[in-house]
Amino acid sequence: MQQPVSTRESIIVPLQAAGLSLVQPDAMQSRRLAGPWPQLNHFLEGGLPFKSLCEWGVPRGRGGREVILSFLRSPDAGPALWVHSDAGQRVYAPAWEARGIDLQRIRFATSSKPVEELKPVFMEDLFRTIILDCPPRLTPGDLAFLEQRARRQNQIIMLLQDYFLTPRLGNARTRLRLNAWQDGPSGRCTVRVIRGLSPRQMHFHPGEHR
Amino acid sequence: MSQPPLTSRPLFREDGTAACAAGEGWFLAVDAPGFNAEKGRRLSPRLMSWHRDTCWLVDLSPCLGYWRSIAARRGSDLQELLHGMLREMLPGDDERPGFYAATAPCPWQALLLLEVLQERDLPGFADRHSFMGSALYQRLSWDGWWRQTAAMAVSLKAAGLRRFHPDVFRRQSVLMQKAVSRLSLPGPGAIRFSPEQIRRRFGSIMARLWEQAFFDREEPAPADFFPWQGHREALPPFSKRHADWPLSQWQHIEPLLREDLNRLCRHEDFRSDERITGLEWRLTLQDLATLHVPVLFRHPHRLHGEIPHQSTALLQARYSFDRETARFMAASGHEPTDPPPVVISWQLTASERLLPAPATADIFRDPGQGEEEDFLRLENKLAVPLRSYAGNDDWLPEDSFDEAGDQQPAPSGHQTLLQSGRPLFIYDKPRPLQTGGRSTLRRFSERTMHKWWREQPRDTAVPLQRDYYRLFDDRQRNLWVFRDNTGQWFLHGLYS
Repeated sequence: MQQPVSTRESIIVPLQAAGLSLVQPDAMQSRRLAGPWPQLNHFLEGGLPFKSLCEWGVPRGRGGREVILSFLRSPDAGPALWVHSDAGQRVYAPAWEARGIDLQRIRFATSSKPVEELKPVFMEDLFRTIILDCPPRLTPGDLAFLEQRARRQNQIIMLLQDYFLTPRLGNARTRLRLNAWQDGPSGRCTVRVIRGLSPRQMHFHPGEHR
Repeated sequence: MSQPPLTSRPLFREDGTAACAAGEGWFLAVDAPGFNAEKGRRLSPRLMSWHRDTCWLVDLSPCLGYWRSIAARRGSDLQELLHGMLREMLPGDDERPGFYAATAPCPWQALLLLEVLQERDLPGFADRHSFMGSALYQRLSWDGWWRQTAAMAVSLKAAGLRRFHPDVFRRQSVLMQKAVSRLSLPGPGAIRFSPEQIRRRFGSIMARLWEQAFFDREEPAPADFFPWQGHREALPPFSKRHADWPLSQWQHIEPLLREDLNRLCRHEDFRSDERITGLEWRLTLQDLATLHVPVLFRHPHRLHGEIPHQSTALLQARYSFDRETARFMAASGHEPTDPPPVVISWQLTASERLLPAPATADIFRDPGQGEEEDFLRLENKLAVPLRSYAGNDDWLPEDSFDEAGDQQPAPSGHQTLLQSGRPLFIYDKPRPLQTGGRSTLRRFSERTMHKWWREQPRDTAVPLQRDYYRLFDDRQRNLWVFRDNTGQWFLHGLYS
């Protein structure tokens, strides 16, 4: 029996429809979200990659969100959506504004089931950056969906965890896994790469290079 | 077909429940010879006639975000936009507007302010919280108060409010009239009684009216008991379906409902430039019971713009269907694991229509332009709302921001400096700190005056000020705490 001939179109079109590409990985790493600190951008080899799911270990009360917030100051990050799940707490908007966030270009939602309750958000590319702040439980299916949507829609989806990440228990869907925290009295920030880049750690003071 | 209760005035809350609290909405009271339901529907689909053919109440809450986005696009504010629309709908003479109109966070206040405008023969538009509106409101006369109170009594009776006895209320009104006459009080705004004192002397209805009229803007709004009786169209566009086989699963209902939504769009009375804020979906079940599923939109939605897929309406219908069937199952004693109710027919009615106004015709023909409209459109598809905030100049942290929309003064440079040292998330209510502020690492950050006048008088000392600290607990967490002048410690936020 004669084998069907594979044309360039018959291979590329279905792959593109699935959000995949035959282009070399280096060429795919075209766009990154840079923050205000050159040192941190250099540390992350240009910033946070678009089209990806990034996971952050940022326990509440340890100040790690200050690092994440710095990326949202970039005009490339907006419009942004921050989804938090703790109904007892509310966003203190003036503090966000004072840290350089444009309140007109960020929206907030409270949801403990973000994939279910906010599914239309992930189906559209209105938001460039979506932060899921400690969702109680995401299934592997949810993570696959998020990663696929981020890739297809050229977004960054950040998944924040209320604990420090370890290299032992991994999340296969995330491209970059990081821990971030602030040292109490000194206010010094620390970022540690868990996965996605070679193991490394950096310290910096948020007041510098602002 | 039985009609839904006329008193229903659902404002969309996070949990999808109907909300009816003063201060959550924005109401317009308008009195003009040419004003009617058709003109009212150009402002909002929810309106009610108030005792005269010319006097109407319009609940602007379902369209607030929409009007705000239009006002922002035109570089004006909400009041200016509304005023312009009224001027266009109700032209007067060259010098004199052809209407009296007042807006307020609750319908009762809007009516009282309208009364002042008419008493003083000031045609035009006033907002309860504008400088002029606030000053006028304080000058409400006793005659005006009693006129509106008498109209309210008629409405309360018509709405069948329990515990309302017209004769008792009339006697209590006479008693109060004598009392204020004895005290020579110039107007209701001059009274300094608490609602509790009024309740003891003149009954609970009068106390609630008083509370609605003069509640402090900074206080939590009192529960609204306004006898809202929504005006219904005689024959709104509708679509009926009798299913060929019993339906219970959403995947079977969805394609038929999509067909009906598209059929509704082809109804001759349903213009393509209209928007809706609500659909009434009445399902008849196998046992001939009726299940009412209100399909509500957070912002006016253009059904014709989504032919043939109707994704937005179907998403909201799905959320409402799941919620109402769960409620129905619970009420009829079924377990959540039992099979869902079986539907044999339904009627879909475009019950809340926003008619296009000439002033906004360009916007109706040009939907979805701009980021703000994209947000509104997306929000209509979600089960939970998206929120945006704006800072204001209040010194107390929990009061220093609002949901975006109101025109707030931008924070001063001093405030910005202060706020950069505050955490990103705060607790709704400060929580007593278990450790009593004991820590080896504690850093003073600011001193703030407490709004002591809000506190209920009690035996214990009233907190007058707060001293805020950054405190590091034994779990190395960075807490935002304060100690008030009574020595009590509270946790107000986490530096997350």
